[in-house]
Amino acid sequence: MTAGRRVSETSGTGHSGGTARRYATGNEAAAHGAIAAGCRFYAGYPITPSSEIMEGMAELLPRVGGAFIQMEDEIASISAVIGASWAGAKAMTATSGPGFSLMMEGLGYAVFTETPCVIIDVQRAGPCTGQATRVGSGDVMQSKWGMHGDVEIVALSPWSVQEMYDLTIRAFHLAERLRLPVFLLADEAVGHLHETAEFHDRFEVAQRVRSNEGTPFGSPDPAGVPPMPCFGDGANLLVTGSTHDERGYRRVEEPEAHARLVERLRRKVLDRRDELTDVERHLLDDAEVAVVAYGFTARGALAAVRELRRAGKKVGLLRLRTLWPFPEREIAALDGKVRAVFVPEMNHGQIAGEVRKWFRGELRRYGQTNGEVIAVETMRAELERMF
Amino acid sequence: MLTRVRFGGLGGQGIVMAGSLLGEAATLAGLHAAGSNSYGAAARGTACRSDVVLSDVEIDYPHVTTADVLAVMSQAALDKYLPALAPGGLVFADDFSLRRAPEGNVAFHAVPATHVAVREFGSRQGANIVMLGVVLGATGVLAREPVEEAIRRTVRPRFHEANLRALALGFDLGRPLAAGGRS
Repeated sequence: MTAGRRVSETSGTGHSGGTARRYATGNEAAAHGAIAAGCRFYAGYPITPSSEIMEGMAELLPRVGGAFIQMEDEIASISAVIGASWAGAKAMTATSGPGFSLMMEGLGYAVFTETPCVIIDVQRAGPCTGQATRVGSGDVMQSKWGMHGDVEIVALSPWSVQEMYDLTIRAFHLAERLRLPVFLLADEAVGHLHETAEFHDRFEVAQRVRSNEGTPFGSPDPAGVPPMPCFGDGANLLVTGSTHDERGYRRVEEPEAHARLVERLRRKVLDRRDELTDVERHLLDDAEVAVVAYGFTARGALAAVRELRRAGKKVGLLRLRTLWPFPEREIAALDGKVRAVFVPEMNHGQIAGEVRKWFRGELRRYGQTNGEVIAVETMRAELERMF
Repeated sequence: MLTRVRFGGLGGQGIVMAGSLLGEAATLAGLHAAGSNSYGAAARGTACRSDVVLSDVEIDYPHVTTADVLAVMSQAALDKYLPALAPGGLVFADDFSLRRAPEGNVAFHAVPATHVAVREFGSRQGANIVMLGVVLGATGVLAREPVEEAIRRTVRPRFHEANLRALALGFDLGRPLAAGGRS
């Protein structure tokens, strides 16, 4: 029967701790992951193909005493998320390309004011409104460089429904630990994929150091993360997007103040590169050719790799689960170890360009922006030409 | 064990629901399942599909590019998805909208899913669940019980009885087809 299906009964019940094995979409899993990680505030504006995350949060947050607000647009959404974070809540929003573009100013503010928050971008075929229901991964560079000025952020890339759950939790962990916005760069194919997944409680998630003591915007450690006071906790608190000193006072004409702050915000991320970098290696030990892939594309890449292995071709896969900071050491380690690298992407070389900086051998790239996932046979055919 | 199932038909026929129930049921049965549906600016009456991969181990690639089982409820879906049938694959088509059976050596079965639904429930609604029952009965890809459980979990209680009956009717239609051949 087509009538009367309750969409959310099996796949969207409230999180009550423990482990539940579910058949869910990636977007549903992200909402459950957020709740499990302690997210208690969501502000957003619905946009395909991310809307089910918002629907999930609207359903789940009231059950755990959290707050959900539908805002008038994405600029307001990210602003509300920043405000909620400064009121002490783990906060997030979800969007897709057009909304992500609108959020850029607020995201820069979040980086500069060291505001922990999580942004899930379920990427669709851009640019502009593009094809709303179709897949893409064209926001990779935008997540790193869409904000003006030099910023360092963290961006994670899930390839399964399980990772929509796991990496949403990790995004909160890193956001709280490092006091910065963390991006989950998903794509439509993963967001709308149904899969068997475990909504488990086997994880650690950091809590920011919430304190009125110390300096909220400065640290003796040049890569330090200062304690974060919250509005309502009694401190006289000044939060500004202008250059500020360690107490938050505007310092808009002092070269040292600006250099010191920008440098610490960069080093906060870059000095922890090893901890932040997360890659997965498949069949690389004796590989002559390595595929470097991420997101849903990496699922198809692994299938292509396995098919070619059966045909005796020595090929492996380096799967990037962290896109930013870029796993440059892991790419450099391929140099001299494999003869050539193949980078398939649902954009025109946004990660291939980064790979080029660290890998000097033969680099073949395949960019596809037709709103469809890259077929296994397409990747296999591209790889076969490299042997 | 890895089985790739594709349901195809028209928006409004419950194609996505059939696939979702199968994935949900496989998960309840302890298997791994992956599903994807056609997704776009579609509406009732336009082409749609729902794919499910079932496996006893983790699924590497979750999309269906070739199907071991094709269950279609429109001629257009049959024509469109038949080329994606794996060698040795099985095809089930609702005979209500069937105009021409596929040529060549295809294990093809025309099944009266809509006719059964109309006869039993006075409505075409339910034909999708009859078809799901046919697939279960004919292929044994999954036992009936987890699908019944999936229906109880995802469908509003007042529709349980009708859906469970539709599933049973389909299952009985499908069972004699398990031997193979054409019908």
